[in-house]
Amino acid sequence: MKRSEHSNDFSTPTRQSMVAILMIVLKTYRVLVRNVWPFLLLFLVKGEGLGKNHWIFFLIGAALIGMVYSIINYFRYYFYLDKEELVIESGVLKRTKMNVPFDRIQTINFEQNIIHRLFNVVRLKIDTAGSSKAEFQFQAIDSEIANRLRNVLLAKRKMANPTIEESKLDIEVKETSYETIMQLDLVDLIKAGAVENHLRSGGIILAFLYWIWHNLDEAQINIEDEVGSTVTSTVGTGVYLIFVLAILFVFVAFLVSMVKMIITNYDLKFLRSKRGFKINAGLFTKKDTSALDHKIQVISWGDNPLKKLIGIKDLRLKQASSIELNKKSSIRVPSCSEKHINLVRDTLYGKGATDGIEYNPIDKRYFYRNGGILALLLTLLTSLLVYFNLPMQATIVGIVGVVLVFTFYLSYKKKRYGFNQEMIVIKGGAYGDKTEMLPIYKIQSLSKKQTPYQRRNELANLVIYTASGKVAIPYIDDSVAESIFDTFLYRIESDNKKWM
Amino acid sequence: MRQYILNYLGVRSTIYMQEAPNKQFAEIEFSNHQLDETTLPRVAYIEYSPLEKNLLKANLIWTTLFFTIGIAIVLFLQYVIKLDGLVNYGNWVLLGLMALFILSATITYFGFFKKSYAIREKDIIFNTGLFWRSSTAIPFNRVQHCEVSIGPIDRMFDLSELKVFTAGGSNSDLKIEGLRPDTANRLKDYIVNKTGIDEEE
Repeated sequence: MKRSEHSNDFSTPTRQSMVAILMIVLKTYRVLVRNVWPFLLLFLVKGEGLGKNHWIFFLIGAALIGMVYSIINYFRYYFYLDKEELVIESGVLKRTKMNVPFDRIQTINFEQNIIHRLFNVVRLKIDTAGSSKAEFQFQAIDSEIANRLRNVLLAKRKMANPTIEESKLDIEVKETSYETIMQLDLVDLIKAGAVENHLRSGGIILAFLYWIWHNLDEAQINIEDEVGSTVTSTVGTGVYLIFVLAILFVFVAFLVSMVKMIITNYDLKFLRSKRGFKINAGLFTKKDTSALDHKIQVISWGDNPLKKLIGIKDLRLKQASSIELNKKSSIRVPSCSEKHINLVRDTLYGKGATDGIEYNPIDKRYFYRNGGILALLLTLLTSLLVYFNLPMQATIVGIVGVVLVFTFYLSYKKKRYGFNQEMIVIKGGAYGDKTEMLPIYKIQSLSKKQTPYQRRNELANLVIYTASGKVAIPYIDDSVAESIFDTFLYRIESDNKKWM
Repeated sequence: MRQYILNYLGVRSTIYMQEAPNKQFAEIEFSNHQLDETTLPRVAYIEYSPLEKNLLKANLIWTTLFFTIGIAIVLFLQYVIKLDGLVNYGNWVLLGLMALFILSATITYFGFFKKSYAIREKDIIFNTGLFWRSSTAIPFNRVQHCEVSIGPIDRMFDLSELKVFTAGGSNSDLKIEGLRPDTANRLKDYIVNKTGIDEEE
């Protein structure tokens, strides 16, 4: 850190901030404890013969070795900029040298947790294209140095690969001011948390309850006995109990989604720079994620019935990533309004990018086939349950079946696809609405798939692969699929725009 | 054009006609304004090349070998080791294995004829699947890299595998096995060359 003060260009080795030593020490201890805790436990329980003193010496020794190791590690971990690459050297015993060419650097992310904020440092993460293992991070580095490094790297990268964007390099790099698109305060978050998909949180709780139940069972504690001893009647209290449990369940699910929403999105700022979007949020750890325009492959937004009620949507900006379909690489902005989404869309693709798109439905056999098979299976299951005299289970399966088939019907009804010269838009959803949108030139490859049933009925699925996952148009006319296939291929091949 | 490319590549395979489309394309209801649909190059009219017959041979031999070993093990356990379960039900297990063998050999055999590929000026297309058909196209200007691999088994049958990678994840990558090594290498060079030209533009 000291050395870098007299060098603005990072040509001499730059180390992490001194604060990092603390973090490395803590991390080393954590790793140590995680790896040897069974032995520690064993000795604590069984090794009393060794005597207390030995123990203290042993622990102090381990702690000292850990600390020395961490400090050496700190001094032997640094980076510097070479002519065309970022060089990172690390390792205590085994030295490794990693060279990252400037044009391979994909993202530079800053993170801050409470300790970071105390010392005004950031955790620096640099992500590269290609292999996922080339990612590296600095535990702590002065915010100022980090910012300067980011600017230098961006400038160098442009020089290494000038085709990405033309001219005006210096002005753009120096320009770090952000325009706020939207901001969420606590009230917004509470609103957004209240209309989250509680079924998902409910699922987590159910799994947890099942786990507890299972363990209690293992421990031979019979819940029915415990509960049953305090109540007398069977049927009435049974229903009452289920009712109370259901309310409790809904309440807890609600609370879980609320807490999750507030922790991850506290004080959320959705920002716009000249070349990309940035999101900054978090209660305990302030996270800074940016998505440059050219890295965004697909945008999607959606809602659920609750969200529709108060008019908010969830927006996702999906970025190209080395790690396939990773949620980390997609930016999620909760609680967007129609206005924000239109703004993002217009900034990314220009006004009127989706003009003139005709939305087509998919074939009804999508519902007949999928719903039909599902209905058949569930009817069979229900009849079996009835046959074995399990009316309760049969009713549940029956209701679930009807709901599922209805969900299929809705998802068929809402599925729409359309495209124009530039854009592809796919709409869908069951109880809520979902829209996915991507420019045609972002397509990586195309696939037309047919099941035997679809072949008999001259139908096909069209799968569109992008660098941030795939998008599918199911059950369309085979000839239409073929025609779209040809059109898209033509568009990709005749367009020289860089997809990234 | 295709003939030209084939000559260029020196592919010595018989031309294999795809089933003729039985529909009139002019009648299709499909709107896509501002571009004359009928002038677009069509995937449906491409003549696809089959894979080398050696691949079928290799696959069938390996299937046979696999099941022969499996059956031999069962027989060994049944008559030499005299494993309890197998003494009673061994014949059923053998029957099941035989049925599986016939099934997998049949699928291998007929599935082979559904695999075909085509190279156009600007993309590569690969068809596969006996029951669940799929046809995947990768434009050359989206190719990340390209490689030819020859495994020990491949070498015995004078075969190799061409892999074309995109940034679209492993599902969208093409893996065409059953090409002669020289063909595969020429295809690779052609694709890499094409990718390079597109980059420069």
